[in-house]
Amino acid sequence: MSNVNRVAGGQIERSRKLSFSFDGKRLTGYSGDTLASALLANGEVLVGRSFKYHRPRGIVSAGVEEPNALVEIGTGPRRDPNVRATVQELHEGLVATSQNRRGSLRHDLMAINDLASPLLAAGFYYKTFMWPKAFWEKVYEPAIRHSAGLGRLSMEPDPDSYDKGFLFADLLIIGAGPAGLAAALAAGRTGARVILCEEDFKTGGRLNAERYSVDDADAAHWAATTTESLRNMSNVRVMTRTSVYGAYDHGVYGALERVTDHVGAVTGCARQVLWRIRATRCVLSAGATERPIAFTNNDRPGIMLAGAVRTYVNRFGVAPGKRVAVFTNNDDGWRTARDLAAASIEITAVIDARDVPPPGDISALQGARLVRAGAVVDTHGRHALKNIQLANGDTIPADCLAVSGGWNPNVHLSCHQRGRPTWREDIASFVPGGVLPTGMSVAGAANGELTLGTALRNGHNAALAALETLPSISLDAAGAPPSAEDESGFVEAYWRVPEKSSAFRLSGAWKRQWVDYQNDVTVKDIKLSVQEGFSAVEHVKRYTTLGMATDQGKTSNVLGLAVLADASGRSIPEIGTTIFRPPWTPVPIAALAGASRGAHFRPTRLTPSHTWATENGATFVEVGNWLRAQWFSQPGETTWRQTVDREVTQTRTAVGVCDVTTLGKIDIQGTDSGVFLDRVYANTFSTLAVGKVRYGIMLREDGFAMDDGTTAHIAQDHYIMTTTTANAVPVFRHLEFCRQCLWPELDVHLVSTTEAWAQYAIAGPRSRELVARIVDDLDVSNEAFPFMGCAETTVCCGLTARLFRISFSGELAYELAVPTRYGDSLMRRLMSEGKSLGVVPYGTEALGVMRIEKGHCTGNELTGQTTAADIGLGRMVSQKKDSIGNALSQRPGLKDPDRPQLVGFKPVDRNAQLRAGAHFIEKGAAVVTANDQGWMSSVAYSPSLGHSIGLGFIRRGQERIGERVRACDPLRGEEHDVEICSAHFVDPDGERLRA
Amino acid sequence: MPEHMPNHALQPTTALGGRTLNTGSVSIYEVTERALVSLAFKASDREHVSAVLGGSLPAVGSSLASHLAGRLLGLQIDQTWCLIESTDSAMDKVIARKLSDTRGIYLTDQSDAWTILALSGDTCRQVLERLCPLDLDESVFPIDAVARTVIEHTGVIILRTGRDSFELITPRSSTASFMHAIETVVEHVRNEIPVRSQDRQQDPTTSNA
Amino acid sequence: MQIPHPLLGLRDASEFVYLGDASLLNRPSVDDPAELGSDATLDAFHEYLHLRHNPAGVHKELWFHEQGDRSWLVVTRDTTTHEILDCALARDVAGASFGAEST
Repeated sequence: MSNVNRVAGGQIERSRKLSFSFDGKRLTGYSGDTLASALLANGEVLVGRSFKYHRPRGIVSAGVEEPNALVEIGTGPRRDPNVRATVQELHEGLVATSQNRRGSLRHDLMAINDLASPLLAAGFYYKTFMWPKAFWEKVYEPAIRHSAGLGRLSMEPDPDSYDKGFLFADLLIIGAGPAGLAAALAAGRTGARVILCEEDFKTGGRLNAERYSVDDADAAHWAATTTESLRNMSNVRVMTRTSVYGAYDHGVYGALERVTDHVGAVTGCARQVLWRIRATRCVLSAGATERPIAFTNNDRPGIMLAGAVRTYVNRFGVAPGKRVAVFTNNDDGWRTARDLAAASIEITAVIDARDVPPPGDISALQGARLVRAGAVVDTHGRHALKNIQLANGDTIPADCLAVSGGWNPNVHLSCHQRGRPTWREDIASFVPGGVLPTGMSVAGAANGELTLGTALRNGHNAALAALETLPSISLDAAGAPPSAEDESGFVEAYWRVPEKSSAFRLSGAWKRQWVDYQNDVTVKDIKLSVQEGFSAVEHVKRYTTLGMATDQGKTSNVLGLAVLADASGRSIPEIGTTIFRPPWTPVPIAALAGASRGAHFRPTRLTPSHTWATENGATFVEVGNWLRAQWFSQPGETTWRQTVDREVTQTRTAVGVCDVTTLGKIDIQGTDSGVFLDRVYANTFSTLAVGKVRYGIMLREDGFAMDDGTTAHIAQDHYIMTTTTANAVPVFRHLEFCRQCLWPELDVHLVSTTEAWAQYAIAGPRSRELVARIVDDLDVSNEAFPFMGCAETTVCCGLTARLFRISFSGELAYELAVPTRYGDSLMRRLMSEGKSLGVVPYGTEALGVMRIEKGHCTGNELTGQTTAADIGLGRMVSQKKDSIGNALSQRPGLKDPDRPQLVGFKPVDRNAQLRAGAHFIEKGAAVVTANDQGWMSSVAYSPSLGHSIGLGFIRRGQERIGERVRACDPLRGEEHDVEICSAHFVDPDGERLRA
Repeated sequence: MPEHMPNHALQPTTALGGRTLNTGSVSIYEVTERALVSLAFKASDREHVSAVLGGSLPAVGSSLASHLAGRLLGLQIDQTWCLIESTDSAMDKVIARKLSDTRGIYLTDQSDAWTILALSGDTCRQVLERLCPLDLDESVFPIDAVARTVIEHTGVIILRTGRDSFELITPRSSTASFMHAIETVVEHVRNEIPVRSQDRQQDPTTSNA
Repeated sequence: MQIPHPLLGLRDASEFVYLGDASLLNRPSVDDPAELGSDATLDAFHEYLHLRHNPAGVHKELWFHEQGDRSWLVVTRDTTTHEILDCALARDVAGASFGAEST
């Protein structure tokens, strides 16, 4: 029979029936239900197994604090573990599965752990599984993980999308209960920009769960109409299903909005949005959480928080039991008894721990046993509660026990910066204290104002106080606060029922009082922790796991502290609390990642010739964010080496073209540009004539080499600097630092133009012929346009272009730049014009081979640990001027002649293939760090020489040309004899590039 | 001119080939006939530069129309960028010729370094709040306001051209990635409308059965 | 973190790149190139580059608004609270012979 436990009333839509399943059983509920309320309505009391002992567990709460009712929602890749049934909205077709069990939920094979529980106390794993040490990773941990734990991941890629967003407000209000709604109403009327976040799908908070009145109207109705008027204010944004999970520096808050979780997967939607909210002011009105009382076997399904029992009846029209008993230490528990009686649910007993007469009207509780100064000492029932036992031995039938140990303000977000909660004796709990996050104030129950009328006024006043200091906001329109009565709320600190060991001597070891349901932490565990010396609150948490995992101790923390206080003979304020950190409730990693997943993890940058390269067989390689052509395969080529060898050979014998747009380009202008360049480069640039290019080496201030490249003096007061692809951004940043922070008096201006120009290297003995076919009327003869010349010119009938005669390949070479929009067209033109010259496109691999053959450095050599002298450019560091890094490059350690120097290496066995990363060891010496003489930084197969070659650093390398050493690669188990040689394998005198 | 020189000019391409997208509530198109030239000067020379430009130089964060160099975008204390109707790829030289005095003024054509996307429509602000980390409320970011920021890991200049219209100026090489990010959010915002419309709270007094 | 940019107002820290202690503004000057390798010069640069105060409290530090107006800023921040007490353009601070008190 379906919905056996429904009673009249509630805020569900009975006209919209929804079907769902739990552990394969088909059930129905209504729109407006949570999974928890629908399960209770169907009499499903047992919903999970506990973390460690696999004890049968039921629903405890009606909100985010739920420690027990964690389930898996969805199937296949959309299966989500550890979803709290108490916040999962019911939707048509919802599939829920219980977790942490082997076999069925009713007959969990791991329940044997409960019988072994006297052995499994806190610290058991630490003490037991210490040896042999190697067993931890391989044997113990996998076995423990298998038996203890939470839900399972799907282990498949998440098919849903997640967005991130940015919101701004004068006032952020966290929580739309009575205080939050009153705050929003007051702030909204002033015209301030307000964001109201509510983690529930309905605003109202406890107003939906109680039978209260606000402004003489039904409280839930007041919440609904107030929310509607807030939604109609253009300056107010009401965000339901949105949890503010963290308070960060300077008024920044993190919030998770669940967009589609209440309807299931929706194609083309973001499932969740992670919002970063910047708010000048914030009112934290996050309410309070009820706490349990510790007594023996207080974890059976059917034992719930009293406020939650009331919520299920009043909001969801569900009776959590047919015969309900109440155990309370405060007036609020009596409210549960009265509300249930009003809904015609049988109350079998109200046990008040206090020695006070029943508060208020008890006429509706005629049939119930009312116990003053009483206690529940034990409970019975295997899969569901059957009865409870009183101190005098009487048993009272109950399938539901509503427990209220008082209410804890939700102080969490007030602690995310430097707030430290302070103890308030009258409510026996912590309230926000210390330094709150910038701009935050706290209102309502979150601030310890646990009664309705006060909470409403408190919220209203907090909003006004927050906005008062903001300019251009007038408080005149805020109106009066909503009014309501203050209910009675007297609470007496009563944390746990004293154990009567004499009565339960035999079975005492199995009699446990649960403090933290989620982590199976008992009173005994906390006492053991203190006994073993872990009595500081943070130590107790780690030793016992109290307050860990998905609920972070929302129901258990303060109770745990009370037990700890008792066990260690201190007061709760003396002990203090553990520190609350973000997130308030769990945030999926997928939401934190947002759209940055897979191919979209970061943006992809495409070169101007990308389309052409794709059409011409290019294989691409990622270089930073750039996709560069690595090589261009031709039909018949079966290996990449064949392709690269052809590209190198053809370039060295005819002409090759390579897209070098990715190199950083910085436009440097101003009357002091030359002076500026002299100061940032180790060598001199102010003497460079217009129309000339110079190679430059840039040092860091600590004297090590930072970057290299060419700078062209293209016009009066105008230079164009190139940087390596990888360093384009850091070099620009460094130059701006020099310009703004060191020499602000200079007239020099920097603009990054990397992307403005498509730039192609045109290299090879026939490159001049090809360039001549492209330029309009520039004389490119060696005499008119020699090596290291540059010019602004035009190409292809009048198009602006820049031509540089520079060479990375070691061949006669040019770099030609045109505005990027013409880059694709220019590549096509170069290929068609060059066809008769034997032109080939070449990729980064051939580029690398040719630069290694020529002994040119890249990032492999400029590692940040090498100096200009190490790479053979020591004489470029001018001694006639100060420049960045010049002074510290003269430190003794950097001038040490024993430093590894850049040289070339050839394998003695010409068939051997060298490896970058190998280390150099002298013949006969052991392969140990002490004998390390340097390392191989770059290797390539040289088609020009017909064997493998390498560049590397070896101690006093320049003096050791011709010597043989071993290149050892213990990682790969390889070793080759190599001969030290000049790093310039090809055309060492540079005749080709000057031809 | 050598004999083999082809007598036709190179063909320009744009990053997106002039792509447009229109969902009804939001439209995006690639603005292709626009030049962008940076104009740099010493911060202490602002008055002089302002005079050369015809009496106005935008503060950092705002833009204004000038008769000499199109819309001037105040991007740095020592740089203003000129956004001007033109297909010329060397507008720096054109602008330089128009200025009465170029001493201390340094122009760099940036047209080809960037792609300009015009984004407009009823939901464009909803789209932007999932992309742009800046507060785009009209009280803070009014029409003609301009800012450089970061969207989806990419530097972007954002210019407000109307209440519900913006121009996003983004590096040319990563335009395809950038466009993908925008299109994804546009689709999400559109598809959420029916999901969110069910979100309205029911009045409890009317929903009780 | 939000940085109160002197020209642009509050901007998110994600737009900025951090460098370090603002005493980096006080680069030693070497007027005579013959002094470049002298012990006095090396000592001065060693102190400039490597010796930091690392205070628990008020700290002046350099931030670059890379994804913004490309200005280098001197941000005065309390390292114990993250409170930002001041923010100025580095070019202005550098011009006014920065910070004898911070070193």
